[in-house]
Amino acid sequence: MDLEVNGSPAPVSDAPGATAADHIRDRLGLTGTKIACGDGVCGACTVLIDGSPTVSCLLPADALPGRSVTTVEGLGGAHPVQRAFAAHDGLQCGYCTPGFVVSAAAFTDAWRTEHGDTRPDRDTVADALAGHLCRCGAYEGVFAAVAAACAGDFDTEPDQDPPRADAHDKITGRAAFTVDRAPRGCWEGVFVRSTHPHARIRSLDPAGARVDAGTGAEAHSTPVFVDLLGGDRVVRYVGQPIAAVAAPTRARARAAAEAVRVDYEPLPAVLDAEAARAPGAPVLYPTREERKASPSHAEGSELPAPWRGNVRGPFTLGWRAGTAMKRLRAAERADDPRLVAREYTTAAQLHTALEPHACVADWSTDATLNLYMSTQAVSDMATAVAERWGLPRDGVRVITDHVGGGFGAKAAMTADVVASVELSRLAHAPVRVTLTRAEELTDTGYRPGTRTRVALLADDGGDLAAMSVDSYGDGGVSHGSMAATLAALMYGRTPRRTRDFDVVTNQAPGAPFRGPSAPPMAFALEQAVDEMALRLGEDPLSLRRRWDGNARRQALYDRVAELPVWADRPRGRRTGRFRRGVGLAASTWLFLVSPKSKVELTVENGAVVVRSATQDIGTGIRTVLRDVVADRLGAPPSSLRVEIGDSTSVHGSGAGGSRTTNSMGPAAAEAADRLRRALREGSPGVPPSGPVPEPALKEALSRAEGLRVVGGRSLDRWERMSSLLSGDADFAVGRGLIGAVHVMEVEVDTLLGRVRPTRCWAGIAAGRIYSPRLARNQCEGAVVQGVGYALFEERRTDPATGAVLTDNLEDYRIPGLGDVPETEVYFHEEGFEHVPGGGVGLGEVSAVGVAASVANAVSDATGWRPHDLPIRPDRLIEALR
Amino acid sequence: MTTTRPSDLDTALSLLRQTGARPRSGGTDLTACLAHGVLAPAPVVDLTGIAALAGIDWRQDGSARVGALTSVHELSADPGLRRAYPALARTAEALATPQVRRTATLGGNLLQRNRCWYLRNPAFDCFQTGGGSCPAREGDHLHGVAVDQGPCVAPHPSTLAVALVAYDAVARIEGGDEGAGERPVADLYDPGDPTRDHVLGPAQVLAAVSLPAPAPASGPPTCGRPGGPGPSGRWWR
Ligand SMILES: Cc1cc2nc3c(=O)[nH]c(=O)nc-3n(C[C@H](O)[C@H](O)[C@H](O)COP(=O)(O)OP(=O)(O)OC[C@H]3O[C@@H](n4cnc5c(N)ncnc54)[C@H](O)[C@@H]3O)c2cc1C
Ligand code: SF4
Ligand code: FES
Ligand code: FES
Repeated sequence: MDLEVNGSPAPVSDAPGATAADHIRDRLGLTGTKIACGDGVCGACTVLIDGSPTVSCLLPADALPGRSVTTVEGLGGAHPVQRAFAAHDGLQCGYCTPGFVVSAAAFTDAWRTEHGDTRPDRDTVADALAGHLCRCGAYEGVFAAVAAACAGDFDTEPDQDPPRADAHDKITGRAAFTVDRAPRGCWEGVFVRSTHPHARIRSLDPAGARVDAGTGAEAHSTPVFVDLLGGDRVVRYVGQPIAAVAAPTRARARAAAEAVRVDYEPLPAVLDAEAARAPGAPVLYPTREERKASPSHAEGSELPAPWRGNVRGPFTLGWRAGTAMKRLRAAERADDPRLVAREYTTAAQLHTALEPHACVADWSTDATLNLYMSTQAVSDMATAVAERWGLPRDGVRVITDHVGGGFGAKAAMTADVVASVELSRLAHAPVRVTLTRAEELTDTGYRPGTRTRVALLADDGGDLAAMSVDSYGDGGVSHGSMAATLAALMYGRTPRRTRDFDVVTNQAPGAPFRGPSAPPMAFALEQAVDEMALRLGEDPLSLRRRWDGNARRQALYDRVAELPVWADRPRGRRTGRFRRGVGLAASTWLFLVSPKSKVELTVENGAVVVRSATQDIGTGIRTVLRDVVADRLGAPPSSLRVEIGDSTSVHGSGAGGSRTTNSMGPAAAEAADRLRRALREGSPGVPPSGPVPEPALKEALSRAEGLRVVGGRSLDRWERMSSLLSGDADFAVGRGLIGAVHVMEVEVDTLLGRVRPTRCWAGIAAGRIYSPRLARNQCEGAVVQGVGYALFEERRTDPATGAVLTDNLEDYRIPGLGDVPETEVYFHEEGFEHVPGGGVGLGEVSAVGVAASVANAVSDATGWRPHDLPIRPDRLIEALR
Repeated sequence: MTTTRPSDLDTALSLLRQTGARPRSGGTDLTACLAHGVLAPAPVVDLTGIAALAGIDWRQDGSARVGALTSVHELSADPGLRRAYPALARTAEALATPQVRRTATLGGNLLQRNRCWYLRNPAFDCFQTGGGSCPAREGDHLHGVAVDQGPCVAPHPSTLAVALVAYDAVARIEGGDEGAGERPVADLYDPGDPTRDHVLGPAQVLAAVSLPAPAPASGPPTCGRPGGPGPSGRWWR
C-alpha cells in the first residue's frame, strides 16, 4: 500500500519500531514536524492524517500506508492561519509552531465551513488547541491569530511584513533547529548515566566499544566510548553522565550504551535538604578542592560564602542590620501585631524548553571543529570550546540558527557538547547528541526550590521599620541562591538584613532560570507585604505606594489605580463555590549589559548584511538588529539580511540576564551610524538622517561594495554600577533597577481546589521598548511561565532513590492555552535615559512577580494565604476545609 | 519486529495464537510503552483493518454495540452516543489530547497499560514488570490515584471504563483458549492480580462493548459539576 505525503507518493517505513514522526523527519527529511515530549502531550509532532490532526510521535510508522499525510511543509505557507500566526506573532522560538499551525489550519477550515467567517471565542480556541503546549507562552498571539484567520482577515497576503524577522521560516517549518541537523554520515551519541545518587565508580567496561582512534575498517563502524567522569570518579546524583557512546545509528548507540558495565561502590547519600542538615549527615564536599569544583547555578559569578557541612552560607547583606534585628526581636517579644514573620517555600521549576539540549560536533578532520549547538551563547561557547580542547578560537565554529527555547539552561557548556566533541574525535565522523525528554527533565537544571523566612515590621506610622530575610536554596549538588539578597533591593532603605544559604544534596544541579532567585523572593516578600496591608487595614496598593521608593514602579502604581480590574475588584468576604479575587505584586530585576557586544555591517552584492555572533532564542534579537539598523540607516527593513548564530562573526551577547537587546541594540545603532557616514562620503545624496530615498541608497550601496563597519556597545561611566557579579565574563551590572507590577485576577473553585487566572495586567518599566510587539510577546509569555510556577510546576523525585519522577510532560505539567489569563501589557518607557538606546532588558523582570500576584489573588478570593508554591488543589482544599 | 495487518478476525486470532504477536489498535499506548521500556519489542498484529471490530450499531431495543476500533474522538462526537450516553461522550472528549483521541481506540483505551509514573520510569521495577515489589506504595504519588486494593496501588487508568461501568456496559471478547465470551467492563480488571493490567489472555481480542438502552424514566445520567453558580469560563484538563 502506498503512502501519500503532502500530495505526493512517499516511501513507507522499513525501520522496525519507528514512529510516524521518526519516519517523517529522518527518512522523508521533513523536519518541520518536531518532537518535544515524545509522549503525546505537547502537540509539536502534529500532522494531518486523512485531514485530521494526529499525534505522530505515538503513531507507529507501519500504520501509515494507505493514509494521506499533510505536514507543515504541505500547508505551503499561505494558509490563512499561517499568515495570521506571523502577523499576530503567535510564536517566539518557533519550536512548537509547526504543530500549532497544523492543528489550527484544520480547525480554521472546519470552523469556517460550519460557522462562516466568524470569530471563535477564547474558550473554543483553547479547546481546539488543547493538545498543544508552548513553553515560550505565545498564547495571546495564538488566540488572536486563530480568531482572525477564522474571521477571514488573512485570506490574502497582508500588506505589512510580520513583526518578527524570521516568522516566515518558523510558520513553514523551514527554520532549522540543532535537532534538525544531520550532516552526511552523522553518528548518534547516547549517555550512560548514574543509577545511584552517590557512588564511587570502581571501574567502567566499555563492552567492546572503541576508546581510541582505532585503525582500518573497525574505525568506521565500531561504536566509540568516552569516559565523562571527573578525577574523583564520584557520581553525586541519579542521572549524572558517566560516559557516552556513539554509533552510526541511534539504535546501535543505545544498545552499546546498555552494554557498558559500571561497577559502583555506593556511598551514603542525602536526598533532601532536611537529611543534608541532620547531625552526622554524610558531607557532599568534604574538602576545599571539592567545594571549589562544585557547580554553581548562579548567573554570573557567585556570591562568596563560608561552608558548614552541607550548608553554604550565609552571604549577608545589611543596612543597619543590627538595628533591624534589634527592632524585630523586640517586636517579637512584645507580640507586636505589626510584625509579620513567616516561612514560605517554593518548588523546583524545570526549564522545559521544547527543543532539548542538542549538539552536533564534527571533528572528523584536523581542520576546524564545527558545531551545531542549541545554545544561548554562541560566541562564549566557541571561546569555551577552544579553551577546553586547546584550539585557536578561529579553529572552532559554532552555528546556532534557531534555538527552541533556553530560559537559562543553555547558557553554559553542557554535557551534550562535551560528549559530542569527544565522540566525534574518536569516530572520525560528525556525532549528534540529542537529549531525550526524560534526560532533559532530569539533568539540564531547574530553578532551585527555596525555603524563605521573611520578617517585616511596621512602625506606628505604618512605615516599614525593619526587614529580615533568610533564604535556603535547594539546588541539589549546586549552589548559588540569592533570593534573600534580591529582597534587599526592594522597599527603600529601612534597616534590614538578608542572608542567603544553600543546602547541597545528592540531587541534580540547578541552573540559572529566567530571573534566577527572584520569583521565589517576590513570592515570599509580596505575601508578607500583603499580609502587612491586611494587618494595618490598608489597601495593598496604597501600602506599596508609601513603602516603595522606586520612581519607575511608582509610575506603574499610578496606572494600577486607574485599572478597572483593580479599581472595581470585589471587596469583602466572598462566598459560594467559585470565588474571584485580585492580587498585586511588585518586582525588580537588575540591569545587565554585555559590554563586549559588537555588530558588523557589510555591503554585499548591493545589499547590507547584518552580522553578529549572537543568537535568537525566541526573544527576537534578529528582528531588533534588523529594525535598529533599518531605522538608523534609513533603509527599509526588508532590504537588510540578518545573519546571526555563527561564531565566526564579531562577538555577540549571550542570551541571559536580559542583556541581549540592550547590548546588541546600541551596537547595531553605532554600526549603522558608521555605515551611514561612510556611505555619505561616497554618495552625498544620502541625507544625514531620516529615510534614504531608494535610488540614492541603491547608488550609494553599489559604490560601497565590500565595505565593512563594526559597531560596539561600550559601557559608559554613567551606566556602570558595580562589577560585583560580573567577574571577567561579558557581563556588567548597570545603574538603575528595572521594575514591574503585576495585577492578577483569579477565580478559585473551592470545591475542586483549582485556581484559574482570568485576567492579568503586566506593567513593565524597562525604559524604551525596541520592538513593541515582540516585547509584548515576551511579557505575555512570562505571565504564562509565572502561572505555571504558581499553580502546577513542581519537580518531584522518588524519596527512596532520588530518581526524577516528573521526567515527562504528562507528569510535569506546564500551562496550556486554557490555563492562562487574558493579558494586557503596559510599558512605562521612561527612566533609562542614561542608557544608550534608552531601553534595558525585560525578559526576566516580566517573569519575577507573576506567581506572587497569583498567590495574592488567591488570598484575596478565599481569605487563605498560600505559603507554599505551587498552589495545588490538595493544598487549597486542605486549607479551606 | 514485524507487523501484519489481517482483514478478518479469524486470521488475526490465529496469528496471535501461533506467533505470540501482540494486538494493536491505534498504537498510541503500545508505542509509548515500548519507548519507556515497559514492554519489550514483539511482533504486532494490527487490528485496524478488521471490519468486524469497527462501527457503532444500534439494536431494536435501544441498546448499542460499539466496536473496539471506534476512536475516542468518535465516542465523543457521535450524535447517537452523545444523546444516549452523555457521560461516555463527555469522558471521551476530556481525555488525553485531540490529536491522541483521533487515533486512540475504545479497545486500546480499556486495555492500555497503567500510567503509574513508577511503572513508566525505567529506573524502577515493580509487580507489573516482573519485579517483586511496588515502589509507588512507599513512594511519591502526588499526581496519581493510589487505591489500596491489592499489591499494586495504581488502579487501571482508563477513564472510559469508569463511564462504561456506570452504564453497566459489557465487553465482548473473542479468541484464546478461554473461548469467546462476554463480561461486564468492570470484570476486565482484577485488582488482586498485580502482574497484569487486565484479564485478557495474550491471544484474546476485545471485539466490542455493548451498552444497555438508556433507562428512559431516570433520564440521562448526569456528569460534571454539581449545582451552584458556574464558573465564568470553562475548565480545561
Ligand atoms: C497524553 C495522554 C493522556 C492520556 N490521558 C488519558 C486519560 O485521561 N484517560 C484515559 O482513559 N486514557 C488516557 N490516555 C491513554 C489513551 O487513552 C490510550 O493511549 C489510548 O486510548 C490507547 O488506545 P490505542 O488504540 O492507541 O491502543 P493501543 O496502543 O493500540 O493498545 C493499547 C493496549 O491494548 C491492547 N489492545 C488494543 N486493542 C485491543 C483489542 N481490540 N483487543 C485486545 N487488545 C487490544 C494492545 O495490545 C496494547 O497492549 C492518555 C494518553 C496520552 C498519550
Ligand atoms: S505495582 Fe502498580 S502502583 Fe506499584 S509501581 Fe507498579 S504499576 Fe505502580
Ligand atoms: S512530541 Fe508528540 S505530542 Fe509531544
Ligand atoms: S514558541 Fe512555542 S515553544 Fe517556543
